[in-house]
Amino acid sequence: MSPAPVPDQTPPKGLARELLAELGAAIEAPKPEGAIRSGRPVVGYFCSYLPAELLLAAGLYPLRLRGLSVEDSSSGDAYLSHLTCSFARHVTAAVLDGVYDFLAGQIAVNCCDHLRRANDVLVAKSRLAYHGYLSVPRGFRADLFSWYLEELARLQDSLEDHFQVKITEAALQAAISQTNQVRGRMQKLDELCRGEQPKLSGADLLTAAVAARVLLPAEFVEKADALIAAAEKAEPLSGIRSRVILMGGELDDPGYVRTLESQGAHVAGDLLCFGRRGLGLPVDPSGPALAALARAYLYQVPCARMMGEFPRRYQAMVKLFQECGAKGIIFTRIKFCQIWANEVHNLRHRFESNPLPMLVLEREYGTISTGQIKTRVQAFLERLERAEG
Amino acid sequence: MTVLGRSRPREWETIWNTLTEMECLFSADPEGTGLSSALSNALHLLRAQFTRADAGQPAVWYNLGFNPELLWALGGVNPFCVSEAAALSSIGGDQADTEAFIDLAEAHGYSSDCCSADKAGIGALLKGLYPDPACLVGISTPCDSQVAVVQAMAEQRNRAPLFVIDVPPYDDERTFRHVAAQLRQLIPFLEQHTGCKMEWDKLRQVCETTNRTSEYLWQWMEWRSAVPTMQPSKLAAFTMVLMITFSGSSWGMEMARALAEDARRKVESGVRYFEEKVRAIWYQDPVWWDIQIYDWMEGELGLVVPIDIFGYYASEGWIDTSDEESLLYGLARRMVNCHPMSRQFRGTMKHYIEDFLVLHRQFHADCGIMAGHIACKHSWGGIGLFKEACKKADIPLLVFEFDMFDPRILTPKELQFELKRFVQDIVLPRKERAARR
Repeated sequence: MSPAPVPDQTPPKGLARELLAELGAAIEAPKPEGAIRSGRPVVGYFCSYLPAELLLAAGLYPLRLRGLSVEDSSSGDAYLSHLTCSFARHVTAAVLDGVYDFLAGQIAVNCCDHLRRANDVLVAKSRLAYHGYLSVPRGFRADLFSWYLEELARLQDSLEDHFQVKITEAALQAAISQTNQVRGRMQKLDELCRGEQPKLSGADLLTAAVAARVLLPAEFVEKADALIAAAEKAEPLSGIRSRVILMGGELDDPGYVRTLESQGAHVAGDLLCFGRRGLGLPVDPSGPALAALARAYLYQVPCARMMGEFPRRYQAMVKLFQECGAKGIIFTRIKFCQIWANEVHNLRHRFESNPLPMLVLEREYGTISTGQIKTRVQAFLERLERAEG
Repeated sequence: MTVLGRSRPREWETIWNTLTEMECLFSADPEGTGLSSALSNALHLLRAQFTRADAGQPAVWYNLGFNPELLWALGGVNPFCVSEAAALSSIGGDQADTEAFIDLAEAHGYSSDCCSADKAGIGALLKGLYPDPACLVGISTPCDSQVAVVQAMAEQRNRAPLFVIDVPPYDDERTFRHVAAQLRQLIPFLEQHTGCKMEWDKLRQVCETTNRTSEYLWQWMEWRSAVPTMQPSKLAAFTMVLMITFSGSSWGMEMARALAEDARRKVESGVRYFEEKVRAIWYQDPVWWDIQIYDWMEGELGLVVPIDIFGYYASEGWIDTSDEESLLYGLARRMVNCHPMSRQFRGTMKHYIEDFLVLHRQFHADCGIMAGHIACKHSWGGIGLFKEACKKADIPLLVFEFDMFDPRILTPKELQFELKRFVQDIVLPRKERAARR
C-alpha cells in the first residue's frame, strides 16, 4: 500500500484568520471583555438545556462555564475525587481558585452526577452570591414538558428576586430575537464548513460556537458577520483526506479538533454540547416567550442524559453524516462520563444493520494527547481511504 | 439438568442449584434462619418467573431504581430487574458468571466506566437470560449509570416500548406528586403493551403487603441497632435486594419477617460467636462478590456492620392505601425517598451526609467505611464534602475504591488489608485512648 499523502489542510488566510484569532482570544480570556464593557452582572451556567435568553432578559451576562483557564484541577480533585469527569473538576477548580470571582452567581442543571456534585461544592465552598438550579426532565413527554416549563418559571422568579429585576415578556422576546441571530450566523458558518470546497475547518467552527457562549449576542453577530464575509472570499481548505463528523458530550477546546484535523480529517459537522447540537435551531417565537424557549430547548437534538432518546440522536447523526458527505464518525467522550458512556454500545448495535465507520476517542478535559490522537486518526483515515478504494 | 422440568440456560441452572443447596444447608442451622429465608424466597421468585415465562406471560424489564408493586398488581406480568441474574450469580450462584456478563457487555461496547450491576445486567441480556420483554420501564434514579443502562436495554431488544420515569433531584411534595403522576401514566402504558389489566384492589393489597414488609424492616433495624449486634453483618444489605425485586410480594414480606425475627431471637438469646470490637456504618455498596468476607471481618477483626446504606429503610416507606391517589403518591415517595441509593444519591449531598450521621448515631457506630464503588460518581463526587462532615463530627472514615460485583478492581486480599489496617491502626487505638480518658 502506498504511504498516505502528507496532509496539508491549510486554514483560511488573511482577514478570516485574524477574525478567527479574535474569536479564539475571546474564548481564552478568563473574563469576557464584553462583560466589563456592558456592566451587566455575569452569571455562569453549566448546560445546554439552560436558556441563556432568560439571563439576557434579566439584564445579566450569560457565560457558559468552562475550565480551560486552569491548568491544574487540584482544588476540584480534592472535593470531587479523581474518579469524576475532568470537566467538572476543572470548572470547580476554576471557581474555587478565584478565576471566576467576577461572577455574580451560577446556575446548575441536573445534567449529570458529576456536575450535580460540582454544584454541591460550589454552593458549599465558593464565594458566589447566587446559586440557581434547574431540574431538566429526562424525556420529551407532555407532562415532562410541563415540569420543565414550571422549572423555567421558578428560575425566572429566583433571578428576579435575587437580582431585583423584572423579566418582561418583551425582554424575553428581544432576547430570543438576539439569540436567534446568533443561531442564524452559526448556520451560515456551518455552511462554510461543509460542501466540496469548505472555507472553514471544524476547529474554526467550534471556536465560533464556543464564542457564541461567551460573548453577548450583538458582539458575536458583529464578529460573525465579518468572519462570514471574509471566509466567503477565502481560498477553500486544502489537504482534506476525509470528511468526518464529531459527536459526544462536552468539548470546548478547538485545539483538540485542530489536532484531529491536522491529519487530514475534516470535521464537517458536529453533535457536541458546546458545538452545533447544543446551540440548536432558531427558537420559534410564537406564543408566550417562556413556553417558546421551553419547546426549543427541551426538544433540541437530545443529549445522552435524555433517557430513551438515543433514536432521535441517531437519526440526527445519520442526517448530519449524509448532509456533510462524511465518510466516518469520530466519537469522543471525557473519561468517567457515564451518560455518554454507552453511546458506543448503542451505535454499534445500530451499525450491525447500518454499518458506519467510527473511531472512539476517550480523553481528559484540558489535555490533548497529541501523539496518540494523531496515530489513531491516521489509522482511521487509512481505513476510510481503503474502504473508498 | 433441568429446572422445573425444562432445560434452562446454564447460568440459571447454576443459580437454581446453588440457591437450593445453600437453602438446605442454612435451613438446617437454627442460627441461619434469616439467610435461609432470603434464599428460599429467592427460589420462590425464580420458580414464579420460570413458570410465567414457560406460560408465555408478558415480561417487563426495569432498571434497579424501580419497585415492582405496579407490575404485581397487573397480574400475569413477569417482572425482571435487569440486574437480577448478576446479583443472584454473585450472591447465590457462580461469581465467575457475573464477571463473564461484565466482560461480554464491555466487549459489545458497554463502557467499563458504568456500574457493574448494569454491565452485568446487559451481559445477561446478551446471553439471552431473560424472556423478551413486552415493554420496558426505565427510572432515572439512582444514578447516571441507570440513565445509560435504560437506553442500552431498549437498544438490545430492538427498541422495545420504553416508559421513562423522570425523578427530579428535589425532596419535596412537588417532586413526589410529579413522580406519582408519571406512575399513573405508566399504568395504561403497561396495560397496552402487556395486555394485562390494572386491578386497583390488587394494588391496594400489594401495597398493604409492602406496608407489612416495611414494619418488619423497621423492627429489623431496631434489633440490629442493639449493642452488640447479634445478626451477621452479611445480612445488612438485603433491604436493597428486597425492594428492587420482591417489593410488594409475599416472598418479600416473608423475607423481611424472617430477618426481623432472626435478629430479635439472636438479641434475646444473647449467644454470639465472636467478640465485637468495632462497629462501622458501611456506606456505599456491599461486597456482593463474596459476602463471606463479612464473616472474616467479624471473626478476624471483630468488625461489625450493624447497617449499611443498602440496608437502611427510611420512614418514607409507608404507603397510605386509602385511595388511588394515595397509593400512587405513597409508591412514588417510597421509590424516590426510601429506596436505598435513590434516597441518598439523586439530590444534593445533604441527604447523603445527614443519613450517614443519623445512622452513625442510631447504630452506635465507632466509624464509617466508604466502600467506594468506582462507578458511583455521585458519591465519589461528594467525597470531599463527606470527608469534611466526618471530620467535623469526629468520625474516623475509611475510603477505598472497589467494585461491588467485580473483585478484579480490588481483590479480597487488598480489601482485607484496607480493613485490617483501618481497624487495628486507627479505630481500636482511638477507642483505647478514649477509654483511658
